[in-house]
Amino acid sequence: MNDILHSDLRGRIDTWLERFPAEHRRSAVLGALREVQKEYGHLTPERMDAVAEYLDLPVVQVYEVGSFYTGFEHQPVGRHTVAVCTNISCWLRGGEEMLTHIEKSLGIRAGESTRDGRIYLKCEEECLAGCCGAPMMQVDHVYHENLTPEKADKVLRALS
Amino acid sequence: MIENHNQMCFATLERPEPWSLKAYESVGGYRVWKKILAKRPPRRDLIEQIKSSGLRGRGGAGFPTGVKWGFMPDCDESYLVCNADESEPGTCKDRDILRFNPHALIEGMAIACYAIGAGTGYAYLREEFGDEPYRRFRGALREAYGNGMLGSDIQGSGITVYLHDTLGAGAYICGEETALLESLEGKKGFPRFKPPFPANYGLWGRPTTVNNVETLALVPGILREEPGWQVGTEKSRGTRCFSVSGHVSRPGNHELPLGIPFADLLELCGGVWKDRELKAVIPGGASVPVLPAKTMMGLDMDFESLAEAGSMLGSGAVIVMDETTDMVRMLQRISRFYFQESCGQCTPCREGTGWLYRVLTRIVEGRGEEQDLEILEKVPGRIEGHTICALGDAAAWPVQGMLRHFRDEFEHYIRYGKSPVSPA
Amino acid sequence: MSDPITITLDGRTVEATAGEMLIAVADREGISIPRFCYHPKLSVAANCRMCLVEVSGARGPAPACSTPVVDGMEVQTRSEPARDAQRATMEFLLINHPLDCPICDQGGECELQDLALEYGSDISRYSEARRVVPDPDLGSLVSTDMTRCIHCTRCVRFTEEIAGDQELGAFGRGEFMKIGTYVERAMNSELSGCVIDLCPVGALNARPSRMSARAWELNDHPGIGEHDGVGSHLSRHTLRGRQIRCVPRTEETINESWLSDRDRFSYQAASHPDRLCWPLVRHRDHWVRVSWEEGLALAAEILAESGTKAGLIHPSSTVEECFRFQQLLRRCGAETVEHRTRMSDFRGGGQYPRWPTLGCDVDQIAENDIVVLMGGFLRHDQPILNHRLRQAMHSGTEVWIINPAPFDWNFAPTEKVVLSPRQWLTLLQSVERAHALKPKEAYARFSDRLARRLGEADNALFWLGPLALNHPDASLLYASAHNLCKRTGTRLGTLPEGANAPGAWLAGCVAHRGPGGKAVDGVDLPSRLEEPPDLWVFYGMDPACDVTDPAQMREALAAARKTIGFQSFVPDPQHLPYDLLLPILTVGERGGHLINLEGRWQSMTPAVSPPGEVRDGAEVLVELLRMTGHNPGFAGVSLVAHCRGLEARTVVPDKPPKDARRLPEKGLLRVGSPSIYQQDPVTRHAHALQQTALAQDLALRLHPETLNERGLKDATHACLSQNGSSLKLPLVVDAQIPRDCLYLPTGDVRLGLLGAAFSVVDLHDA
Repeated sequence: MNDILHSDLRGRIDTWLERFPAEHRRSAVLGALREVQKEYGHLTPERMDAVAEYLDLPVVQVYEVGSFYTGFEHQPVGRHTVAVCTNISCWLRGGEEMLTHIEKSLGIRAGESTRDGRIYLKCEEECLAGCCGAPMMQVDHVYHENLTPEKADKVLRALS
Repeated sequence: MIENHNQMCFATLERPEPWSLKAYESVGGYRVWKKILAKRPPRRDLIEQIKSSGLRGRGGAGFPTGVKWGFMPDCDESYLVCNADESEPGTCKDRDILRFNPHALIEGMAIACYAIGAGTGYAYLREEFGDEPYRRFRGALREAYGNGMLGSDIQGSGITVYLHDTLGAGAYICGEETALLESLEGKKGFPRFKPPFPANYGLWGRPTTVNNVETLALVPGILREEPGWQVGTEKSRGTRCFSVSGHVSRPGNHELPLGIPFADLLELCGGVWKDRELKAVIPGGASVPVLPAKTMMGLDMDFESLAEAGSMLGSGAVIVMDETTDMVRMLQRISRFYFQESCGQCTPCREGTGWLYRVLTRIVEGRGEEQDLEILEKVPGRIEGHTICALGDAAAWPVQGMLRHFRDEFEHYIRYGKSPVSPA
Repeated sequence: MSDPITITLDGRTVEATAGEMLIAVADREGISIPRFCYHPKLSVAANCRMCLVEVSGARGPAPACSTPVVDGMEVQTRSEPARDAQRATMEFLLINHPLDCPICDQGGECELQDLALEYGSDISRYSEARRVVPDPDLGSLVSTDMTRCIHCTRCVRFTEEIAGDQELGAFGRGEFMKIGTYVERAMNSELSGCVIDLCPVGALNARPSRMSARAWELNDHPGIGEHDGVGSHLSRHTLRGRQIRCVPRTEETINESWLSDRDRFSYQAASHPDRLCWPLVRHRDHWVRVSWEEGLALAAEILAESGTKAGLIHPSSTVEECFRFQQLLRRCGAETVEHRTRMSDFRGGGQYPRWPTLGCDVDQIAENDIVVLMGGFLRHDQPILNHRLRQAMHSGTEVWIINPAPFDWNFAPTEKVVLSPRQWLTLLQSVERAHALKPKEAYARFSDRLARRLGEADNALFWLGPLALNHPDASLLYASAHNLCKRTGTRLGTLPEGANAPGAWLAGCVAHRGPGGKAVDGVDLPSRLEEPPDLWVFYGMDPACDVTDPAQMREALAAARKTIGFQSFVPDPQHLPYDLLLPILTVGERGGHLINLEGRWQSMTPAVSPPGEVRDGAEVLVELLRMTGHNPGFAGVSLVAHCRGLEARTVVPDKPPKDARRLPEKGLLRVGSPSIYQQDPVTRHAHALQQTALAQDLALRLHPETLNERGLKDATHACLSQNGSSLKLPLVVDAQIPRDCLYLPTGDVRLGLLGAAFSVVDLHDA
């Protein structure tokens, strides 16, 4: 466990634990998994086992959470997560076309990462609550609204 | 210029750094909370004030907030939870409250904690808000703690309120209040069956009130007796944040008196874009039934009028569609969303949402069959009202609404294998 | 919650308690509401939506499983709206359920199949692609066909709520949600088979009986669990004289609707390839089959010719077998008749009561304020008892545990102390002293706290488990515990091995006591081993595994002139020099009585006829009585009547012994008890059970310092030496194990001639 959850990472998990009463360590599981993912890029059974051990939970309960929320990745992905909204408000204003454009300019399909490991184009099903700035995308949760193909390309090119 | 525009939740919008404590205090922020700290009024008095203000929940269901608070028993350990998991498609108002007026939410949460007798409140933000909205809210929280507005025995008042921020991890269902509680407990977002309701059995089994961001952000202004609140209709009192999106010239969030005619709202947003005709509107977020242009143009935007017209005010998301909109494809996109976001707990929703999506996909791909219409007519009714939470209803209503008003487009697709709408 | 109210259920006025769930009221009234996820022993999930009914005033159909009744409620379970809702759910359940009923083991006893008949439509409206789900390997006991799964989560809730170790979960979401372990791994629970019963469809089935019979062909034979003193009620299902499977029979006062995997899957032993089917006589190093006439004649001859005799019988033998065994042996002059074959301290035998009991009934455990267990791991020893103790713990009973190793409990005991067996007696004495002194200071010490709780509790129970009963100072521990219990008003119970230890005591298979507890002059087992008899007779127990010290037993066997075995399995002739083996019945074949640790008589009838020329051992013993010139007396039922009559006899326990401790004071102490699937010859021959990790894992557990001191830091294996025999074993480091001990399970044939537990051993580099 200590190999995976090094002391710095444990410290970050502890900031989530601090929010909840001591007897409810389980509440920190989402926060802990997010921190682990932030550290390593994606979750693995071993990493989830480490979280389970640290929070004193059955591993199954951590796997359940890890597999339920779409924010958790289980395969290696690119450094930057790009999510293009195609839900209805964006759909009405060219969200799907925007996604297609970005797929073409990155040369990958939604759900894939670029070969250089730079960009992960997430398969986003949810509305990202940027409806009044449609079409829009998030890059590492930063909003880019009122997108045009040119604007999108510029944002993506700037990613290191 | 429309009167009473952005007077409550968005009151700080015109100020420099509208999210700062300074900006919030300049519009009267924290006055109510400081008064409570100084005088410790009976908590039931506050509940009565909220009841008589006519405030109804802004999350979607529109339940009277004061009544909800009144359900909370006197006990040692209870909680307030702020639902900031804004994810109803078309809705983006809570995000702007978090970005531009987080202190209104914090003061609202503090007051609510006091009124319901809770010592701790959690704001559960969706993970996708993890950057700017979360940073703003967290910054404001720090400011509030730093200025002695929160903590234990605040300013020697004997009142203790701790507020915490938390984040989800990507699940529409966690916007459902009991799924959100499960998620806060570190579990999958499986909605709980009710009864028991959260006021009896909420977070960690303790009495809990769950309120939406907008609802809580309205509370300080209401208690300050802002004139901005003295608007609306008899049963739909006050203001409402409308997120107007889709085929309008100027999409945007607008906080306006309830009961404003839809036509005025549309005008405020510059009308239908590209000089096109209005075809239809989804007036309260993706879950509510669509209404045709003719109906909408004569409707006022309040709880009752929309319910009478066969839809709902829902989350205040007004999704506008022009004449070029392919309603079958639109419905297919909505159905795909519910299929992907069904938690999987209840049989009808788990199995039914995928069924509807697959049938719609076949129709859109030109492989529709006559009996598909029967499935689209009958299956939603077998999901609706049969599930633990309202996601089943939310998956059913759009199908029923579309079929009610645009059946001919479905028939056309099935007969000719293609859209009846000429592309723009 | 306890106000009586009335509701109207399908037009009938029915009494109920406010807050009860509608489905429970309907079940009580015999009104059947269809359901899948609901199970009265599990938490309510309300996810299948099959039990939707019409409640007047409600906005839509309401799930009966999660709708609490209120006074005046009017409910229709079969009205058109109710049936409509139920049919709707059935349609959804069936769209992705495969139509493979003809090849599904669940077919014929499938809840989905049954309800589909009533609520399903003849033709599916679903014409899209159907879901296909991969099948995870859950180990040798539970088979999976997950495409059939309807996601009711009964199995998931069972592992979390009853088995106490959430091994199964529901992963992913929506239509793609999958039940399983996420990372493929075998189930490890001692109750895992219960998920087979709970699964309402054919997703989880019994792997050992997969595809071997159709449910409707099976004959049902009520039976009793034959492996522990709980005596679970079960049903043996047979086809054309063969045992196909075993399922629990609901007995609320004992096993409820659960069954341990050991009781469920042990039937496989009956058809083990090493099954002893004919009388065998040893010729040098191989067996020769003989007729029963020859075999019996030889047995009678050996009995007549031998001088000193000792007979050891397994404590899972029936009352009838036990009685006849001691009758034959004693009539033929045996000085030693014993069923406590793993016990080593036979001093002060007179202090024990007529027979061992739990001290309360199985369903009364939760009525105790506190239960203290010294020396036992119930998950392995008596799995259902462990479930009951866990249940009690969750309903407020305090559970205090004293053991030589932490063990993998599936609940968190109120207090758990891991203590070297060298200190157990001292602990008991300090608790007794603390009780007398009633310290007012902070109760820092475990013994003080325990003394206080025992003193305060109205209902307290103290259990001595197998590790205490087989302790070299067991008689002193018993005497001390007895004293403590007397002073604190605590009931004392013991948890011996086997399914019929009380019956063995009653029937007189105890060296110093005959039938009914009548004192007899006997030679106890340790003395017999020191001075081996002319003849050893073993009945249903394996002298290589079911004894304190296999090495010493081996020597004692070599020193004896003859050995007769009444057995169900063929031993290796080179290792166990039997002269004669007589085949007897085993699990599922036996009739007779078992007395459980409550003192409850339970009768069994054979579910199948035995293979080959296997005979009922009790009858064989009677025949041998006749052949050796003794009158066996009563026949059939009257023997049972006689034994029941013995129950009335008063046994006045003697004063406890005042002897010195025997447990060696210095040196590394090997401690252990048999693990769950090594407790008797039957289990050791049950194929699927033997494939589980619980059966296969064999390791030394010890404190890291114990290793360091021997220069074995970071070692993965080490050599254990004892009695000149040594064995390389894997190591498990566990800082909770006392420094002077190592834990190694016993009863395992792989341990060979390692010697006895509770002895000093040596550990060195492998």
